[in-house]
Amino acid sequence: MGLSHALRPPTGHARWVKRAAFVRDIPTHPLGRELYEHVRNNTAVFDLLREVTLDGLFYRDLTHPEHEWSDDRLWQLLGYSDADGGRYSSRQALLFPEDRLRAHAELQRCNADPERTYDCVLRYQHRDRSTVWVRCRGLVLRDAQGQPVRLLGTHVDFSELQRTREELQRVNRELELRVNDRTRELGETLTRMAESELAHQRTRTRELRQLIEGLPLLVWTTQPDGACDYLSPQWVAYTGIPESEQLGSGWLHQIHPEDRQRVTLAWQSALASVQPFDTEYRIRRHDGVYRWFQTRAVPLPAPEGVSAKWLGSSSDIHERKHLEETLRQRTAALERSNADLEEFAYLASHDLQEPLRTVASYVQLLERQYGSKLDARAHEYIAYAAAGARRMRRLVTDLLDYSRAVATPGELQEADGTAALDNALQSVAALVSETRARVVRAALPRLAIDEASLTRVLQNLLSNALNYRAEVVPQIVVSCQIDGPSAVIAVADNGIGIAPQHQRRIFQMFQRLHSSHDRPGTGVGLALCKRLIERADGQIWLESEVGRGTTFYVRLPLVAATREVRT
Amino acid sequence: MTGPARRLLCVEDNLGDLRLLQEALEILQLPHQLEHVGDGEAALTYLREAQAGKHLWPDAVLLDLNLPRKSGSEVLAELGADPRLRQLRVIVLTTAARERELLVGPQHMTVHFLIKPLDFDDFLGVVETIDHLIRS
Repeated sequence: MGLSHALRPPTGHARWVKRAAFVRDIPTHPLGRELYEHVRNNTAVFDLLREVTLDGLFYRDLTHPEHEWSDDRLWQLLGYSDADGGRYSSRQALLFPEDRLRAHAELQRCNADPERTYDCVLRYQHRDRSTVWVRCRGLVLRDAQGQPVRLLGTHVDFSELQRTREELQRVNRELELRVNDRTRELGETLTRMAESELAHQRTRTRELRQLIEGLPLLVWTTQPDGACDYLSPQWVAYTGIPESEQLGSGWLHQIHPEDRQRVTLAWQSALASVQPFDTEYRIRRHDGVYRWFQTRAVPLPAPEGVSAKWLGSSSDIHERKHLEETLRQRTAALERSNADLEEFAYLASHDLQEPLRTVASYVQLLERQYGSKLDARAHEYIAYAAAGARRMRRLVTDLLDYSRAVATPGELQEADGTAALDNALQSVAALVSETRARVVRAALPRLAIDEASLTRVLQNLLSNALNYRAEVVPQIVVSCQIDGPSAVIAVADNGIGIAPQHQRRIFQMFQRLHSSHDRPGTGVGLALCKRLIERADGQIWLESEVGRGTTFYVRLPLVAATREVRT
Repeated sequence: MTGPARRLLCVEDNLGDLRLLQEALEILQLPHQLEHVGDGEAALTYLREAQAGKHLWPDAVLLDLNLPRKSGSEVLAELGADPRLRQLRVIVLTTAARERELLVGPQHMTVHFLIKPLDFDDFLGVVETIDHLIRS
């Protein structure tokens, strides 16, 4: 079939309708014109185009639709050789039924609208029963009256494209399914995890609650604004008031009226600053008794931007508080009575001096003015009176010394031990030579005590060692041992010794073991020593054996050690 | 030991002490004349009356600190506040170890502080000191 024949309108029956969309004007380019000329005159051009660019061509008589010509390529596309096909009914029969209807509908639209190009996608059943997708485009040719008489159709195979598209869709669907599956799995896993976590949390919460409710504490929680939202059973049991009546700010009614305002202010301040709350106050017990509690509350950890809830606990500190108060009162009472005692000792000793002076002076005056007129018995009386007055005078001065030995706080005391011992020995020098005592002495370190006190103590110990001597030549050994941050001074004698039952008593005021006739002394000396030593954070004690001698020990802090501690 | 006699106002509630002073003056053969009042208030009354010419003006006042009705310190303060009375020579006699009290007289006034000793022989020494002070 020649090209010129194909493009020439069927004589008498059909006319080539020029349509803008399909048939262009003859190109102005010379080569374009030449090509058009070839198309007009040479069927080889038509054949080339048909074979290279199209996958089949059919030409159909619309006045007799059973007549149709279709080319080899179309049949090859459908799996038939040239010999097998060639019949009109076959092509139509190979169309999918619903596509046949669509093709017919498209033809009707084209018949009705001369401007329309036939264009639809059709499916054929290949000879091997696979599907062949074809884009079918065509042109309706009309006769002189404009009646459609022929349909020229072209096929372009896009089965490959369609298969790719289907494959893509399938892959997409599959992917989608897989994604869905994975999402579902993930969701299920998460749900399972969450459930397990939740169960764990519930267990933990239950355990914690059991723990909290087993503690000897009143536990509670509040909202970020301080409104109470949980009170432990202990609280309810303690106050004897149902939890529901105490939530919010109801608990405040159980606080002692004297503490309430202070507690409210402290609590509001803690809430405002989100700082831990720690306050002591009294809470009313079910029987109306108020007991002291220490209450601590902390803001619970909360994510950024979320206000913290509070967890609080109140522990009963009533006993401690009570003890503290008792201790404070006792200490104050002791301090008072101690101060009173010192004041009393001072005033008593002072006021005792006046009458004493009168007695002593007149006894002296009596002896002075009338001594020559008195007999021996009168002189004896006067001697006793004078001795009593002397003794009284010593008591009074000792008592004064004792009452003056009041701590001077804050002052760093420092004594040259050796100098203090020198002075002490000097003050007992007369007694030493009188008793022919042998004294062995050691160098003493610098000690944290005022030097006058240390001298006084050493003097007391030395004179005791001399006064309570045995019937042998007195031997006194003063030695010193450094023991860590302190020094222990020992004053050992070979005197009469002190029986164990008396050893504690001798440090008490006015306690004497011997009559004043046998041994001088007022019973104040060792009490004063103890007071002076203890005032300097030291200790004094003794070891003694009756008939063998006594060793007094004085432990005092060393100056260097004291400085280290204080700086 | 003798010299011109001085007039002394002794402010002392303890008659034993007064007598002791008299005895000491006698033993030391000091001719000073003693006037005596028993408390602080009486002392001030006496001195104001002396100002008014009712008594002879004393050369010195021996003042005990521990006095009834008005203490020695209060008497000192009132004397110091009076331009004429503050001219008086005042010797305070106080018992030993009164160190808690401030041994300082009022401004613009010369006050001597002497300790009453426990021993009579020592007391004689104190009285000799008083004698020196009131003669100077």
